[in-house]
Amino acid sequence: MNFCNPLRTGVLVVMSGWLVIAAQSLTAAEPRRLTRDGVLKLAPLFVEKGEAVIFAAHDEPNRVSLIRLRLSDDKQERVDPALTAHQFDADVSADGRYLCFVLTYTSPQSILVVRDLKEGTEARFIPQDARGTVRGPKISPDQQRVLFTLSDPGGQQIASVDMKGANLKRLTESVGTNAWPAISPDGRQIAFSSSREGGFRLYLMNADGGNVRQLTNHPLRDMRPAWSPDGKRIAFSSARDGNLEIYIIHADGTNARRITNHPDRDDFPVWHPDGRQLLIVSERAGDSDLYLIDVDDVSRS
Amino acid sequence: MFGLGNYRVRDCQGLTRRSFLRFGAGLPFAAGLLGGAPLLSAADARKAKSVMLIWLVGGPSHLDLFDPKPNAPTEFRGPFAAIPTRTAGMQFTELLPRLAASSDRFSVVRTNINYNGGHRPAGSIAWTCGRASDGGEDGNGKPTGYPPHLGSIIARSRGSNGLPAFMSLSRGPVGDGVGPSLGYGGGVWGSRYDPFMVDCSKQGQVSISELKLLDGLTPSRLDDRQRVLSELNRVRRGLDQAQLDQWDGLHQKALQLLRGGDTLNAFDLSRESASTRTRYGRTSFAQSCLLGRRLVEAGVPYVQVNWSQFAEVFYPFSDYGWDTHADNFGLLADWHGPLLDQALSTLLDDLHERGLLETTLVVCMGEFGRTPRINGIGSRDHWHPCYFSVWAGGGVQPGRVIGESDARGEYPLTNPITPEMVGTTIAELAGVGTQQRAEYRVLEGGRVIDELL
Repeated sequence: MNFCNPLRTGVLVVMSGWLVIAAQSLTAAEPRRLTRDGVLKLAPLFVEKGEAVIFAAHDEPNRVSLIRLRLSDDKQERVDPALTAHQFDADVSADGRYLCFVLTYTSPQSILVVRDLKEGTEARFIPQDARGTVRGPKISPDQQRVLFTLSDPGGQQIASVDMKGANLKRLTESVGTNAWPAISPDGRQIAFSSSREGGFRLYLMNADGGNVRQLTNHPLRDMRPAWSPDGKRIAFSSARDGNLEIYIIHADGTNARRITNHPDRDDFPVWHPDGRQLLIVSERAGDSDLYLIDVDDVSRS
Repeated sequence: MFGLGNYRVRDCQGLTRRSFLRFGAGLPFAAGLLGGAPLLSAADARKAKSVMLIWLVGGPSHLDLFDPKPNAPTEFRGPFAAIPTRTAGMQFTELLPRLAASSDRFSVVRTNINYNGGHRPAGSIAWTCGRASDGGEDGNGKPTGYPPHLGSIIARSRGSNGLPAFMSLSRGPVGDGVGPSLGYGGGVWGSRYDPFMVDCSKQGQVSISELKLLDGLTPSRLDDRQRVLSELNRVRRGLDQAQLDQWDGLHQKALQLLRGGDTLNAFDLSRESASTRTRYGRTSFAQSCLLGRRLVEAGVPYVQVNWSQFAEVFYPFSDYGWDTHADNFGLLADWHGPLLDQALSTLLDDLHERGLLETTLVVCMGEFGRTPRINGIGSRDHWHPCYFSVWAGGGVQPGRVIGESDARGEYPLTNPITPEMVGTTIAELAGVGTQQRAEYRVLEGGRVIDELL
């Protein structure tokens, strides 16, 4: 499967002079469907330099599993077939050394698992409260810490631990709900959603939790920010048009653009390493499947 | 595709239906195996020919779905914005855009109460319409005189037209990690009034787990009555004493189902178009809603569609119930909100488009709501003093808001809607009138929620 040059036909149309039509076409372009099984999917990400995708799928009645999809032949396999509990929200370091994910535990609690695939070791972070949870872990670019949403005494905040699952640091201590942290490629900024001012809006803060500033201000929810590889843009999902669509905003808070426009849910955007495409979970064909969208020309225009 | 016992049938292969039909026509069993109750009557004046109870196992948050409080303090209101609906003066949260756009199809009660804050007792109290006053869950086993489930009451009154009259769509008996709720059955009326359990997978594959004991029941061996009885007896000889106690009920259910003939088609979701199946959503709950609609079309008087088997979200065995003690807002945004919005709105649209909504009462609720005050870990716990239910069709006037909760969603400002009132209203609309309720000694003293009618 070649997914490095999708929608090249659209680019050719632009070059041949159909500029306006081409721009509309790109905005509303039919995404390329990567899966067709319709199994409920959550939180995908590219791995192996864009050659594969890992996502969570509700593949059994009582289990959500991490699945690796090899894009060259569409082969799917469980990331860890030995796991019997729910596992989801995976992240992999750029060099492939570290894999982290969320694992349900012996109660409503969910924990963070960090695997060093090079050393063959595993570290865990377990919330203090018996019902505490970890969601959405992200490995920092310098591979020193893992950032995540922590629901524990003190509310739902953004926090981080080191690669051994120790030295917990809470980066937010606000009212409301904080969620979906994303670290910029240079490791200096964190984008996240927070309801501290009402509904879920996007915010930025420094990597140490300081200098919090609001990025979006729409009454309907903006969530799941994802940094482009060049650190200039942030993709996110938003309900601002009634149902969930994918948007891109410049990191300075300007030029918010809607990328998808479909009556069914488009959600969970993540960037391809080439920075020209987004991987999303969409229900546009009724089923829950992975799609690739070309966004390069749209977001730069 | 559906499964009978351990045998799976794919209709498109055309290998089984005729056998079923011949078998069904050849059996001398009388109608109404559930207690020999009367057959449905065309002259019956009931408003709801069928009832679909959509049960949101685990306790969905009322503030984050159907009763938002945008002006409440931060520690109560939650992160989801309130959006307008088609019903004047009624708002939902942004998690339910499709239901908001179709709110003229249903009414919402915002002052439901329960008497207990535990999943199993609250479930039992709700399903027995308040009769299991303590839920009976604290004793050892089912207490003597345990009251029957509302579905059992309606099934007894209405009888069977070929399919079991009380169908339960879920992976198994509904409850929590400790065990099933005791109120999910016939209670003092006996096991023959228990629900007929059907499991529907996200692929629309239907299986009847109760009959898996009858390993010999394959359609290829069911081509005449003699062979059927021989097969059943063969299986019976293989049972131990404990299993023999279940034998009669299983025997009756198996034969009842097999004599259903054409009604068996109701279980076959492959007869639905791909667009219809995907319109509901490819989850077990969504496909169960579609299966429920087919059972309603086939004349089943009472269908309970359960969101999950277990209340819990995250336990390793659980199946994403609504018990969001932790990560309530993330889970509702990721999972529960969009899936409920899609499946329930599609069910109501589908019933309406087929002309079935007028004669089908759809009620959607859980055993309780969740704490308006956000807990110490940023989520919500159990809350039974005030929560919601959604009512559509079957004689209910749509587009209404019944009852008002206080500014924080903690308690009713208007008359609370009790489990007795919920049960009495459903029973009344389903044709189980005052006299019959008195004869059955159920729902005594309950009153109908007049504001819905």
